[in-house]
Amino acid sequence: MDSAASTRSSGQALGQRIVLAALAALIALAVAGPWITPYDPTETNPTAALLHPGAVHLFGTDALGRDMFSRTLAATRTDLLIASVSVVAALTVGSVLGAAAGWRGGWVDRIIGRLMDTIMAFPLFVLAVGIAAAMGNSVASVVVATVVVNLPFYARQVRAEVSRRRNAGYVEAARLAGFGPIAILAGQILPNLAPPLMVQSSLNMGWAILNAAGLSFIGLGIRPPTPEWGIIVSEGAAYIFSGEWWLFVFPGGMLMLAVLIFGFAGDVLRDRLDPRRD
Amino acid sequence: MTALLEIVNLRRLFRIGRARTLHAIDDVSLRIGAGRSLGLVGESGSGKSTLARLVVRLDDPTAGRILYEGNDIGAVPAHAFGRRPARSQIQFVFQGADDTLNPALSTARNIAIGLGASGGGDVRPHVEQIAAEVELPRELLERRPHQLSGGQQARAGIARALIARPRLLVLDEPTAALDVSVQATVLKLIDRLRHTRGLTLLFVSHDLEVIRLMCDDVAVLYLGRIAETGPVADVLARPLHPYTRALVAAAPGRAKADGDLIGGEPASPIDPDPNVCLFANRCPLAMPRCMTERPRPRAIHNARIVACHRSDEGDGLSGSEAY
Amino acid sequence: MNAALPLVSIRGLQIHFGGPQRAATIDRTDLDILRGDIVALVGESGSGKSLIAHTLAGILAPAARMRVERFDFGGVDLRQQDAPAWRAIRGREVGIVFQNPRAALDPLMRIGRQLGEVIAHHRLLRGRPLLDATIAALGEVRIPDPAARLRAYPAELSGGMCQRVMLAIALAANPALLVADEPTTGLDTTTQGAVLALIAGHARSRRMATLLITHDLALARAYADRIVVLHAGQIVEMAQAADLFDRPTHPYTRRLIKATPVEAASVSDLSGIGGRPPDLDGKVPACRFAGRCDRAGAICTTDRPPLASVAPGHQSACWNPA
Repeated sequence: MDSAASTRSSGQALGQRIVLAALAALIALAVAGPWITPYDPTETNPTAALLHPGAVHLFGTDALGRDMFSRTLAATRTDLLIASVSVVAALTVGSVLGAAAGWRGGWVDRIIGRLMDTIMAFPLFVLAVGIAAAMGNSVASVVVATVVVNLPFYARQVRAEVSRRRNAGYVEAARLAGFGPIAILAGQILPNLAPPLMVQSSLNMGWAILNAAGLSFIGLGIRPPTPEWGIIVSEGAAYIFSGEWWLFVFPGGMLMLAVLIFGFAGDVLRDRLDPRRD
Repeated sequence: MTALLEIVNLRRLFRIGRARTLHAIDDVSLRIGAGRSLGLVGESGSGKSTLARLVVRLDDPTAGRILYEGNDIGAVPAHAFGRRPARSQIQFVFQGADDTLNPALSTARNIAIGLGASGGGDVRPHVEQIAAEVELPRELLERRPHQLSGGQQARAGIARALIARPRLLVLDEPTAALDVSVQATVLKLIDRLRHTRGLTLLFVSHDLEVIRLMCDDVAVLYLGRIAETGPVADVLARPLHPYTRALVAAAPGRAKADGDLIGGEPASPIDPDPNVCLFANRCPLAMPRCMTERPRPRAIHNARIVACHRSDEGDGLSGSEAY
Repeated sequence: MNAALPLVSIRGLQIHFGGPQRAATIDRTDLDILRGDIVALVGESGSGKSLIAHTLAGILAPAARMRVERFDFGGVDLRQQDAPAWRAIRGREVGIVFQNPRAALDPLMRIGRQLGEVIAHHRLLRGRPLLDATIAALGEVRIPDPAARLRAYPAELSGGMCQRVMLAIALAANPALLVADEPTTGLDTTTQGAVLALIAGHARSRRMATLLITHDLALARAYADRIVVLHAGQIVEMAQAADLFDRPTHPYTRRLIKATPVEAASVSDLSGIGGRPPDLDGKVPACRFAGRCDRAGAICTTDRPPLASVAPGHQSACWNPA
């Protein structure tokens, strides 16, 4: 039988390495962002407003004279931070709900299922807008909105995986050994779930970033002058027809790039983390 | 000889839909003496796997008692049994399948599961010791189960069951998924371990020849009821129940006459008539009484027990046909 | 019972999977099947026995690369046959019964119709004669109350009944060869006995050659005239069934017999076979049992032993037979 790893072409392996390197670079940017910007992202300079991209200002300046390159770069941290907090919270809460539903079955499963169905019945962005509007303009409301909207995906995935494995031989062996349900879920089933969950989380990050940016774009959540891609694009949107393209192309491009990188990284993770490989 | 395990009038019913009941185990009584090996043989629907799971307390009986060293362990619900000291004394070897071992854990950690939650501290020496006993090479301990061969996985499963030093080992078709050459090695291993550790075995199998080699006694199940029990060599050589006779005749490698093979299909185990012998529809010796009265297991001679009206009336299989 | 000319004659069959560096899964094998003969092909998992079944039925997977020097069926050279030619042979000359009968039947079609379609195709019957023929076919495989069963779906039948229906479908055109690939694995013991007796009975009454593929030596002995032992894609021994057990000469056959429970008087009589078949991606000895054989010599690794006659009708491929 052919080993699965050998069927991966060298081109594919190179592509995977590029993706992972890009991911690392993105995370490094998020961490180091504010310290490596050439200008203070929030410092205004009306005399240097709306300058074309050039040697002095790589991405040009906006209407208030703020350096676009610095703002775009600094926004990396904001967006990634919000998205990762949301994803981790959604993952945790969703997994607990899904595990409970998958393990217990019965009415627990039904109630949690209805809850998740209710959330998913709403167009997700509309729901996010509703939550953010109700909670007021703050980072917290963006995070909560993103968490709520993303919960069902994790809950469903975990529920399916748990209920599939509930009667597996090794689970019964653990019960025979005297382990309780929590110990089995954490020690036996979770290691099998970690790979698909990590893949889901990585893909989810891209969506979470878009969600945060989208909410800020329409004025909910993050408020200026905090640099955040959605806000920057929203400010630049006013200039679509007047020709100052650098006001939305660069931040929009970074946004797109970040989402793409997380999406590809999810694929790479899925490939690498199959428990039946080493 | 004191019975290590005694099953008294055990029943396990499953509700199907709203009004129907599946009689998986229907009034079964058995005894296994300490150090003995009892084979449980039957075809699909016989309830042998259900019975095995009841004995190891993965499942709760509907009625009846399961006595281990005289204590009714059946009274303790399955989910609460894990905290009992008797838990480590009764262990289970699963039929080899993809999910018998946890694919996300190393073989060593899989084996260590057998020590349970109380297996704190350094479990490594115990794992290595049991691995050596089941002849599992040390270097495989760090590998994942899918990297082991079928025979090696079977050994790991046995190691996991034995690491807690049980007295009673229940095995459910432990070698059914293995090639015959590997099966031979694993069977010999089980036999050796049985003698070196003084284990009592409950061995579930559909394969009469395996039961013959591995067990002292055999119990034949049909649709959740006992057909007959007795010392294995005796039962195979001189079956007293028509079903046992058909089972023996169907096994390849045994001489058979044309009339020995039975046809027909088993009756339904769902809401069965309690006043009927469930084998009657296929039995070459069926008589009117078989359709009006359920035969009860009755002790004959030489530790033989048979549930058959023909046997009661003395004109059943005389047991003199030798194979 | 046996005509002088074999019904099927295969020479030098090789089947490859994977890259060019990989050893062949079936390694230059010759096989003859005589008319009316029941031949059991015995092998463990990975021996390639199912591949031979698929070759005879013309349903080898596209990923398999097959080379053969001779492949005669009833005088017809099958080497160059294309799909339409095979479609004519399959079903008419070769009937196939597989493991897991429920998977082989269409779950959405009543069995009367499934069987009827095949009979209609091969015997060109319609209407009432077709109905009668279908009922008769079900009766021939001992399905009780066949007229009532016509309208049953496969899910309503037991495994044993489904297998009988498969057998009826395979026999519909009265083929010259029946290929049965592990037909009773997974069925209950009592059902196994009944189905195999049925197959053997039809083989005799129709003078039909049967290739029975199994991993169970005891089963082969009970039902076959001749047994062919396959190890890792190489035929190691062939003999009349009784002869193989009375005088096994190949070390693998001997070890296989010693591993079979029915042949052992007690557990200490049993002995397994250590090691595993060679990894086809690595170095493969010429005789593929050499790595596990206690009688192996240097020549076994370099030269493949030919199938040589050790007694009338009994051949063994070993440099050092017992």
